[in-house]
Amino acid sequence: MLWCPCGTGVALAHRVRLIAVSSLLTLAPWAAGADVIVLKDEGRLLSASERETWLNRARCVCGTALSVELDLSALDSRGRAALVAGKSCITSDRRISDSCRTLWSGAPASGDSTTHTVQTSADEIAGDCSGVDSSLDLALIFDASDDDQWSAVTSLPLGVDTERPAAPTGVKAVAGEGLAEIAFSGSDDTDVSRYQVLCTTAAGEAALSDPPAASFDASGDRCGDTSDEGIRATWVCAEASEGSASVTVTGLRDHQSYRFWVVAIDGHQNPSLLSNVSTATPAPEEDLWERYQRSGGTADGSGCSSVGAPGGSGVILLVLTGLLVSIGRRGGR
Amino acid sequence: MIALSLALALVTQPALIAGFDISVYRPGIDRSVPAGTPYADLFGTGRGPLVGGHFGISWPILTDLALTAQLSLTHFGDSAYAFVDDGAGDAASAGNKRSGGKTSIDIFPISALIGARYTGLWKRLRVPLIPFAEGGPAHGIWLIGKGGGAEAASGSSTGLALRAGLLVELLGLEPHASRKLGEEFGVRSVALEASVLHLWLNGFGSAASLELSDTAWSFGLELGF
Repeated sequence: MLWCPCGTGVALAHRVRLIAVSSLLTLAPWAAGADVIVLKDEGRLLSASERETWLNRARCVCGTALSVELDLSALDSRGRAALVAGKSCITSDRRISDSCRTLWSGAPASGDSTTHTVQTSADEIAGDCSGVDSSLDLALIFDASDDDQWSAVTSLPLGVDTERPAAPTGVKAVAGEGLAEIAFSGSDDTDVSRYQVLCTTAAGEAALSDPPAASFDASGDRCGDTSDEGIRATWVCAEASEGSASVTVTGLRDHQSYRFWVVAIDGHQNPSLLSNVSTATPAPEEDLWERYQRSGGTADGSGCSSVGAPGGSGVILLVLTGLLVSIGRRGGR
Repeated sequence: MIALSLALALVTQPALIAGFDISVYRPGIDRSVPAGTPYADLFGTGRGPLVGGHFGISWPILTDLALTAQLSLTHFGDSAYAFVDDGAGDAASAGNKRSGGKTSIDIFPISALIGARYTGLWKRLRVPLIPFAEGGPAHGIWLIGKGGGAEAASGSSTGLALRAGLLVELLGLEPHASRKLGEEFGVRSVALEASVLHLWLNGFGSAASLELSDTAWSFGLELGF
């Protein structure tokens, strides 16, 4: 599903430095992955999962620009380097695959500089926002003789998923005392990792003053895609794990009407569209204890004090436990 | 009981016994209220599992008789959707409409039991049945919860626990397995247990104690070491 027709970077919302570190003098093999290409978000090293999450979000927030810095000092200055994004970007005849996006191409060195900065954007790396491209590589490749015969230098594997999971269905809220139980039928998508319940007052205000953190991209920037305009981070009321069929929202006020939705969220923090809405008004309930008392029950329910225990049977039980354990030890020898 | 246990421990070599059992239990709360059936209204009329274990000691005091002392720890729990309070203090008049919050009850009966086992059937006739009877003080801690996990009330009721039943000695039926278990794990007996358990847990009739009494069938497995 199309999230947004993001163009190339407009505003510098994030600055990511991609630093390729190598002792490459020719096309000697670089260590794959770790410590060769380092991706940072405003100076902070991103783990593999964080890279994917970040990129997945960034590509669908218009204007998320990237600054990719490549350390090319080890490459032969007579050749040509390129930064490409895609899957299997070098064909069998050692050309750049048409399916890949060339983000930069040029001489490895210019003057005294050992790094090259590539201005690009999240969506240039990951492709447009439509569909799913669950795996791709950000690859540094090299053409040693400037004859369009490319070889891989190193690559950074990335995973991207911009497809929404299907929305939960059959949402039904049943009110309790200061709470509501939300039952729903889960999304059919296999990559759903959790569900979040959104709730508001009847007036559309956030129901909780201190809501749980949203697990989805709540930036609100959808580049004109308003299909999920109802989703607000401050509306999160509860969270349920994948496989759940119900969740209880607590912290609500009695006698106030609330609206509830459920959103499915996949492993890349893509939220589904809102489910159907269900309304409920919490009210006082009669639990077993209240029912018991209204039926004339007179037991003391103020705590764990032993009532009517001649001689304190609790103490006797404790003594007997100790006795049995000590005798048992003797017997076991 | 304490004095007797100490005396027996000094003159005999006790065997350790441990096992688990499950009873089909229902607390007698409804029997203690003058009007209505609060437990049945919320949880229905069925019974639920009272699950637990016991451990203790068995002394062969006579040729065909063993004395036992055990501690039994068990748990019973149930939950159901509470009723919507109609504000008039009587949910029943509002049709007992269920709420979205669950009310729950947890009961932890603990009992110390001293008993006797007749082993003559097995030893003399090779019939692997060991009748037994035991009883002792019991203490039931209970907690009642309301929707959202909050505690509505808690307390405890004391009383007695009585149990009578049969052990079916399994290892005696299979000598080879019996030897192997004994040599490798120190297991001297493995027995299935079927019994009737009577819990008299109401503070000895105190109106201030929650009525948790019941008579229940109980089944289990016991190992002797």
